Amino acid sequence: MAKKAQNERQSEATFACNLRELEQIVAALERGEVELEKSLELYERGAALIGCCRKQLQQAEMRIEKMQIGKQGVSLEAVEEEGGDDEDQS
Amino acid sequence: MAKKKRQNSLFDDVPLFDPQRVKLPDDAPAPTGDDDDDAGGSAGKVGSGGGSAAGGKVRGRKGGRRRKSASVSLVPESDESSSAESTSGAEGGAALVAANGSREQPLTVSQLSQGIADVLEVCLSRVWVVGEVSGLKRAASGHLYFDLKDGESLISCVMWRSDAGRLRMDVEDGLEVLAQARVGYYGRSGRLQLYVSLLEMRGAGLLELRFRQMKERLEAEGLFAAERKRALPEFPSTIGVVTSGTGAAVRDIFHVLRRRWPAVRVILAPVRVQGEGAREEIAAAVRAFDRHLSDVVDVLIVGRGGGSLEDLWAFNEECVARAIADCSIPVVSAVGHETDFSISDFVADVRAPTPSAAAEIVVPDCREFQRRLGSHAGRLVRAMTGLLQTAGHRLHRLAEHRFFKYPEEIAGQAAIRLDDLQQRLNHALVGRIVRQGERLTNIERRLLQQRPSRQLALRVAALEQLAGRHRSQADRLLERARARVDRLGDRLEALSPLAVLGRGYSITLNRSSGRAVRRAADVEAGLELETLLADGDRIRSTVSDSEAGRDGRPTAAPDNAGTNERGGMDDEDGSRRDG
Repeated sequence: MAKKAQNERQSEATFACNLRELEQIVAALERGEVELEKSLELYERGAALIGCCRKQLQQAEMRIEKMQIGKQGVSLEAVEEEGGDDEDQS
Repeated sequence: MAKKKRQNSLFDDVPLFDPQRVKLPDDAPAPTGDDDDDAGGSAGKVGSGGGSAAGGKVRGRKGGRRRKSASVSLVPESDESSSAESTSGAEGGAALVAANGSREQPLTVSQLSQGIADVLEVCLSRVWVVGEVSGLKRAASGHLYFDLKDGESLISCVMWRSDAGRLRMDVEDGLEVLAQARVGYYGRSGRLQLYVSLLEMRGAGLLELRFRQMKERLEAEGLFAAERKRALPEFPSTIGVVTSGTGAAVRDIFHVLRRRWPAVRVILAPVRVQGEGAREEIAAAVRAFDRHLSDVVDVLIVGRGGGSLEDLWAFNEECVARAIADCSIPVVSAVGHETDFSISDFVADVRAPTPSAAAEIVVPDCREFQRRLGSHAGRLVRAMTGLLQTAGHRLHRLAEHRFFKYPEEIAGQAAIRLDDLQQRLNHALVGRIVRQGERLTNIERRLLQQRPSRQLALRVAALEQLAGRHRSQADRLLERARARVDRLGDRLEALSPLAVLGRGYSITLNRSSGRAVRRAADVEAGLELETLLADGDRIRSTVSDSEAGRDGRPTAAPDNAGTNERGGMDDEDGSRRDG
């Protein structure tokens, strides 16, 4: 469970990294300080990053789990959809 | 409820006020202290209280207690044994006032005071009163002096040190309290005051005080310090939520998360958020996250929807505050009250006014990132286009260069330039030679000018010029002299003896001496003479005889000679005069 989460965190971290890299590429190209050949390379990389980030944003589906506190620790149980029960607390 | 029970246990061993005794003094035997439990509540309820089975027991205890309190308050009336006696005692006091306070039998002030004290002692020896503390003074002795007031009335209160020491909280002005007190009348100053034995915070006042005092305590511990606050992750992947599993709060949180940043995993720890056990469950859930899932969960939302102060109270409990403070995962508190803060709010890393707001704070908005990605894409394309255009322009400019466009022209120009250079070189050389030659000529000329012959010629010329000038001057002088000579000659001519000869005179000369013969004595016979005539004619003769004249001189000759001489002498003078 933790391992899976770790992977997910990495993928999320990738989103942040991708975004940061993309911003750097855009800034570098806008400054126009790179050689043409290098800039074409950067452009391709930037386009790929944009696609990647978009995919990450669009594909994501929120997952919900419920935590139960046991004697040994906690257990997590996936929840299909939030209950919809309207017992009000507030 | 537990609180109330505690109160009741306190009630049990103290005498209680029965208002019916005050209101209905002639209802002497009826009321007993059987409704202890609600004595602190409404007075009306007291009267309606039921069973008298326990009455005797309670009464008995009351009696025992009252003896003590009577001795303490120095109420002179002695009610040794039973409440019945004490009741009659109270009635006795009233009776005393009624019987003796007449015009015929007036009371003394002391008697009246005593009567008042007795009545109060009997009727109001144990009351619960609700009011607001004001004018609190804490004496050095430890006793508390204050007033209890409501909107219209005010009563002075005293709380002895022994009672004040048992207070669980600090009393403050403005607090709404429930006080258990005996009403006392102090005859010496005619003052009535409450002797407060118990003081409890009431309702909001109580909670408020507990809130404030805990806040101060935790703040003093540094749990609210700004440097303790941790930054929330920018892109959390897993979010823990501690709240009711069934409230609006959890639905709001899920809704906002799904809308803003669906790329997230949510772990919900459903807990009770109000009532019994809520604080323990909340604290346990927070600690469970911290202990077991701190490497998974990036941020924790702890909260609930809005409610009354009592409903939200669990989030003001110390165990919850400490669990949050100890949590290694950044915590966002979301206790649904826009304006009021809970202790959790202060301890958490970030305070959100509502659960929805907490969800918004915790995750970024994916739409904003989609916009940002769109913007990045646009900038990327523009930047690249710009770069390509720039490169294209440069290429174009290069291609447009004459070198590429008219290469032969470039070569021709080179040739022209070469020629030009050649020409300039030649010019430079020739010019140099010419200049050198000119210089040489110049020097030569100057040298020639310095030649000795030329110098000589110059000198000669100068000399000749000078000589010429001399000569002309000499000529002039000569001419002048000559003219003068001529003039003198003419004049001399005019005076010349020869000219005299022209007029007929003659001169006779001694031929041998050449001297003119002036006297006869100058000649002797035989002497040859020469006579000069005009025009140079000459006659030679020889003296034959000489005859002296009267003066001894020859007559003829001396006359002529004498004339000549005089004339000669005159000429000499004349010429001299001319010169």
